[in-house]
Amino acid sequence: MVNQRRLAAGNSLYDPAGDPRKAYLQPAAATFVRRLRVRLPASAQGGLPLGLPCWDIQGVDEDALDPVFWDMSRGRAAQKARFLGEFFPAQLPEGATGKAFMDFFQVNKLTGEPKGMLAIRLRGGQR
Amino acid sequence: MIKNEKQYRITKAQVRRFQDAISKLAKQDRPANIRPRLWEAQRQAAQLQMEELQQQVEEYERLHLGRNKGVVMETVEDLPRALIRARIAAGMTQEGLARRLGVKPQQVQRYEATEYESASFTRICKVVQALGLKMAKSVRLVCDR
Repeated sequence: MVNQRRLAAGNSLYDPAGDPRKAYLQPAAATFVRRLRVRLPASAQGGLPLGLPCWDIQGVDEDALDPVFWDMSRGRAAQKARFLGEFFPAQLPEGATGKAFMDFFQVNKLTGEPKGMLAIRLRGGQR
Repeated sequence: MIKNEKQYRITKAQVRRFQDAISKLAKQDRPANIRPRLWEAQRQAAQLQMEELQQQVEEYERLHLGRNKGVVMETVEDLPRALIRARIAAGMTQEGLARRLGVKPQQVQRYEATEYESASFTRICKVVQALGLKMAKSVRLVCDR
């Protein structure tokens, strides 16, 4: 899970240096969605828990990627310390790992029920 | 951490899913629009996720099969997880614990999902009693400042 206040305070994951084209998040907090300037259907808005499970590696300039996203040591402790959440690189949505992560994050672990995700296509930030 | 049979089944299925994905990835060629280091990073991410899920499955199986004789607590903060582990090791379901506490099963599920964050001290003591837990030996609390 991602700390919304940190994101709102300017610690954006979507720094142009990262520039993933697409990221998938679980039903999002309004604060973060406003920050990304994403328009959601009314039914998806609200203060639901925010999670940013994975981002698409396709087309990403690996030299420009923030080093924190390379560090997967100690259970991705560096990402958790910075964002209070973690982010998985995957080939989304149809790659082998992409499908696995999409399935993984779309199941409520407590109940086994399906749960929603949002795909955000990122614009701008090109270098 | 896996806390009940349903989570156990879900997590086992996810382990298989990640194993399949890693096998498929090994047979694929890297597309031109994915840089080599990122191609490897996704494999590593999937592998680590699979291993973490596998560890959760193994811990649950160890507890559930009763191979664990008691649960170890290193710090007071370990208490919530220790209570969950102790329940599983005792072969008691969340529903069973709820019955002993006189609450709805959903209440125990919430306690465990939040690692007893909202439970009162009185409630925690009742959980300890319901599980029949006792300290193996007395612990001396010391000031570490």
